[in-house]
Amino acid sequence: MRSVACCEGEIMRVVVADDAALFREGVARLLTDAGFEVTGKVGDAQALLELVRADPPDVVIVDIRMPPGFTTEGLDAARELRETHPGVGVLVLSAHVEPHYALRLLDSDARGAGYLLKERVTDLGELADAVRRVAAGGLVIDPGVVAQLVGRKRVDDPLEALSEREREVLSVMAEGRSNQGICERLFLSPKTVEAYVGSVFTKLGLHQGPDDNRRVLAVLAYLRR
Amino acid sequence: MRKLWLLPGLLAAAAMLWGGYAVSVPALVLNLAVGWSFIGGGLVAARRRPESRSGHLMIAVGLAWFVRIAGAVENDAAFAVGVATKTLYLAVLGHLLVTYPTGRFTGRWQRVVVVAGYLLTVPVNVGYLLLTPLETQNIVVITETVVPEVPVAALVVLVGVTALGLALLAWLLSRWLRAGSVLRRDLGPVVWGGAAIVLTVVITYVGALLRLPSSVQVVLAWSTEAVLVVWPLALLYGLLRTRLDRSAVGELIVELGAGLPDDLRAALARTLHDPTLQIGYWRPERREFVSADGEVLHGSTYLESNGTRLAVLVHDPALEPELVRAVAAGAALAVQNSLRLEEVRASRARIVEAADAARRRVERDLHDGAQQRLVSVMLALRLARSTDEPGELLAEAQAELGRALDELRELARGIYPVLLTDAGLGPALTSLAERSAVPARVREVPAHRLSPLAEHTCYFVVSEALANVAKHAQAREVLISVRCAAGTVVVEIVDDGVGGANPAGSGLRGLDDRVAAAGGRLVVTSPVGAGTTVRAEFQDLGESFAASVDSDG
Repeated sequence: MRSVACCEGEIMRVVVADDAALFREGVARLLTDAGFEVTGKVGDAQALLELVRADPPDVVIVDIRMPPGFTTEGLDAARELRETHPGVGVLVLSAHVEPHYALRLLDSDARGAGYLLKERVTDLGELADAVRRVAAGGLVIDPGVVAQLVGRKRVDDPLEALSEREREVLSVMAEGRSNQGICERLFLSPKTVEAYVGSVFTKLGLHQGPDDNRRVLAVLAYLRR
Repeated sequence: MRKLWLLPGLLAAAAMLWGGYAVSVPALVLNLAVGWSFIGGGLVAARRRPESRSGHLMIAVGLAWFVRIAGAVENDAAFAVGVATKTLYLAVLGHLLVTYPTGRFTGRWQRVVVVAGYLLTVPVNVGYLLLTPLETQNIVVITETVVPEVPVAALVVLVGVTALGLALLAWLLSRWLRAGSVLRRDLGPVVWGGAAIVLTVVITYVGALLRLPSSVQVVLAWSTEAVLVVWPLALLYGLLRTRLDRSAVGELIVELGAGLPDDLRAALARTLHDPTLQIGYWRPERREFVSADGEVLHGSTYLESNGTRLAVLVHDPALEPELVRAVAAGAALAVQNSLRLEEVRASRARIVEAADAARRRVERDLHDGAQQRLVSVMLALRLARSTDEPGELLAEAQAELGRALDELRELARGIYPVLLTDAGLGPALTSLAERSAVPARVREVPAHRLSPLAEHTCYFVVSEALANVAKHAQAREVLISVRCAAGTVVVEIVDDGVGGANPAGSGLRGLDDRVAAAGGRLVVTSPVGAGTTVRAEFQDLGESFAASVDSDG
């Protein structure tokens, strides 16, 4: 079995929190198969917080809706972990295509956080990619959420000034991908991607942030305004 | 102050008791009773109907009655006063009868009759006093005396009074015949009592003219006085009956409180004793008041609620306006309640219908969508089991499941906006605006959480309004704002579309129902060509809790 190494050459350690046992076990197995080490599986937010306190993993995958209230316990736990354990990446799984929830994870200096639709776990490549990016301090926003933001009807829509390719680049950028990620995703050369990114920012009148995360936040803020 | 009104009677009693003549007890009692009953009845009437002068005239009759008792004092001057004013009360009585119930002249001939009546009393009596040598005698007490020769002048007076009395009788009778049932009821005691008095006076005078035996004349004089006592009592009964009418209004209110009777018209007619009464309800589509028989009605008394005329009453104009107003107010309350109830019933039915329709839609969406896709997935999996190369089938199944999930997610969102409870109105409305088919912006939302009912109402209003805009308005942009001040929530959705929205259309109707269910009201302003503003206003009666203000929104 191949193993996924973290920055220091060790196997990446993941905790899965979901109240549905079948889903929890399924995700754990997928991750194990993909070479991650699942160090814990819990059914509610309280247990998750205790587990992380006792043995911090690299990444936690947490369902947004869990006992006891079945509202946003997972999201709240994720926000708490960002305070107490900034080094732990948090990937929130949700059934809601709501930018609001995704953006609650991302404050101005957000890092290592992600919001994915639950069903994405069936695409092992996408799941593993998201876990790795979050572990590395990156941001992950579900394509469905981005699609809603990009697809919003606007008066004098500035996005209409973008070419179709530029819009694709914008969307993938908003999903939290680096230029390298955009290259892989859209099958473009690094130089071409750089050019597209540059023209998107120019056309929208945006400033590229000092790092990828700032860039994502700027794009999301622009789309949400 | 009112006790002062007893004074004339007391003076008269003193005059009769100690005036120097022997006055029998029945005569004393009868004289006092006549005077006081007129004054008392007049006082009550003047207070009850200040707009009418009849009360004052009744008091005047009583005073004129007492003045003539001066003749009971054994003194020349008192005798002169007594003789001069002996028949004055009859003139005032005529004045009262002719001008009843207003106490005011309404025509020239009325004035002529009344002035003639006054001229036939005091001036004639004074002339009699001056021209005829008389011995002072008790003129108050009725006694059998030797009938003197009637002088020609007196004969003229007697004939004049008789003619006037007969004219008055004829006029009363014709008035009675012309009156509607309400006026008859009102006039009854006055007319019959008055007619009896006039009749006895006329008969007395005719008796004097015909020189009937004095024993007969005495009986006639006594009967005149007896009628004079009873008549003000009849008037008092009339007044008392108005009181009874008022208590009938109370009964009507109690009856209406139990619900609008099947025949409101009959109930009102019964209470007002006006069988001709008609009621016309406002038909907004015809802009007319229409009776149950489809007749267009015009009246002067309206059943009003908050300045809106719900119905009109057509009634006998003789009805006491105050009484009609009281009845109309009670009836208005009942009609308004019934209209409200009708509205609530209709709105409740529509809400139930809308809920049923929504459930049908959900069933159809589930049945035609997700359920269908799940069947395909099952089929694909079944096929995959019996094939050597299941890869393509499994991929197909996975894709189909993905579509089913998408549909279920949208469906769940439509059934209940979880964001609303999780995060509040701001994020929920922002999400609605992001999904709106017409560009929409949320301009203003309260920073604090409202009660769940208020938040749901706001969300529903915005959601439905956005759907309406997308369907009908051809708008370029929609602006959404929610304000909350002092417990009043105002939701406003303004578009810049073609306007001309029909508030009775199903979409706006549903909104109206929803807002009404929250105790508020919906105002749609939609001039053709100038956009549409949907404004809902209601009280947030639920607990308003200040939850953590969402950074977003």
